[in-house]
Amino acid sequence: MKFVGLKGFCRYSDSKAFDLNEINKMDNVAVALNRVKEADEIEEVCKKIKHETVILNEIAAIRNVSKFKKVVASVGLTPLNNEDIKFLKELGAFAAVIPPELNSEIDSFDKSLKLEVFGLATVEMFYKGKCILSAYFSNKSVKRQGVCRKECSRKWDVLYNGSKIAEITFKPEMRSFNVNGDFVKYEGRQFNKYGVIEDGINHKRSKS
Amino acid sequence: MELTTNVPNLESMSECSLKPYDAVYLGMPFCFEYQGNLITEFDDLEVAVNLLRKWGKKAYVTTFAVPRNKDLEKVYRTVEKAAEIADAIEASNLGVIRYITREYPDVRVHVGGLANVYTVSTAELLYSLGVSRIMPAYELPIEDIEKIKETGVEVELVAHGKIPVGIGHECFLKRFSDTVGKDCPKICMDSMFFKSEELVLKPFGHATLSGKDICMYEHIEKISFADALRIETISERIGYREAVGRIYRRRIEKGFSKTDFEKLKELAEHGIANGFYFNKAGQLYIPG
Repeated sequence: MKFVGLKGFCRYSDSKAFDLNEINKMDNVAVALNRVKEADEIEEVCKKIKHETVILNEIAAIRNVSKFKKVVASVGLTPLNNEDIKFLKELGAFAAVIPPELNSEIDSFDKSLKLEVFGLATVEMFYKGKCILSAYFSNKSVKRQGVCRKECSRKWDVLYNGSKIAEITFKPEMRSFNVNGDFVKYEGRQFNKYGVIEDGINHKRSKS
Repeated sequence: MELTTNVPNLESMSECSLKPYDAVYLGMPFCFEYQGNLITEFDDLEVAVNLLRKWGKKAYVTTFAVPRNKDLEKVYRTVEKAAEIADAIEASNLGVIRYITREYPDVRVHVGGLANVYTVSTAELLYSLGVSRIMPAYELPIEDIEKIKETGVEVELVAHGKIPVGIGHECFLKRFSDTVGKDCPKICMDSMFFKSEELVLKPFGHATLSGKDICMYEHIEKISFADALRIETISERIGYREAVGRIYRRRIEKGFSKTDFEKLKELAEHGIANGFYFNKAGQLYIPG
């Protein structure tokens, strides 16, 4: 199964996303609408998607859309524990994407919901879905506009009690994992066609 | 309108420093290991709640913001204790929020800013599940927050202080334990910042805070529709909590003072910003 992004509705970049007509001509895909928007807007467009499975990032939309689609709860909702899983199940989700940082503890998760895990992922400075660095520095919001400027990739001076003690960078790292889940995800939309993570404006400022 | 703040441990509480506030969030939500953290030290928590009662303040208890399965038992214990003695419980994890509304339907639940309430539809859903108050996602502008307020749920907004710009599985301070010769939990008692060109961040537990202080002193009328205004002081010293609280109390009761505004700028080591209230990059400051 391939996840494809719907233009205007998915995280990361519209440049790699498809419009509704293109998506409805594809076979065997699931559709990512994991940018944060009001539930009724998401529900309306989901009704026009011919495919069975969508990935969503808004809890009221999950509740509404799960009545007529299989809904995967996006990693942007940062499901971290069994109470999260229980809540997503209550809302009607079919599966939840678990952040890659939790791969080693995937066996501790409640199996009442299908779990999608990352076999290949960029591990970032913060949990996916819990970062507003790009919006804070550049007014480019992953959650709201689907755009990330990767401000984490800068070289940072570490100041301790006023003095510089080190330099650090939090550039996202591509990692592969040997992990079992109901579905294993291989993240692709953050990479360009050469398999390189796109750093936005901070590529030249990056340490590595 | 309530003026609120937060304190991590009993050591950070004094009657003087909390005098300007109507209600106080007890506990450090970004790290269980913080010294004397009131979300795990229940004897201290009882003392803290009793002190707040004596001083005529409301006592709210916060919970760990990013609990994994291994943390849930600790969270359940915090919730059980808080349900017994506090006026409300704050949670930022959606599963924990639902757990509290389900298991403790009579307890007031306040949703923290890291819960990512971006939309009216999310706010309506949480309100229908029994949530009393929401701090909307930090990156929302005023016009979007006003729509959330129209759902009927109480809204709390950060008026001043450092906001989290991210939270993860790791405390970045610990990476420098060997370099500075201090281990957890002592290392976070000192000042550490990350700086790149003009950009500054403050690592604090699992969270990383804006280096700048969000400051709505000049613009307070624009967010006065909120039910509560928060002075974020979880990573600050007692003196900061007291000074900023007094200034905002005067602002609410007596109006603008240039002297007070200058004092706020002095207290902000890395400058002030408006956050996202005006639909700009959070680190910018728009003069009033």
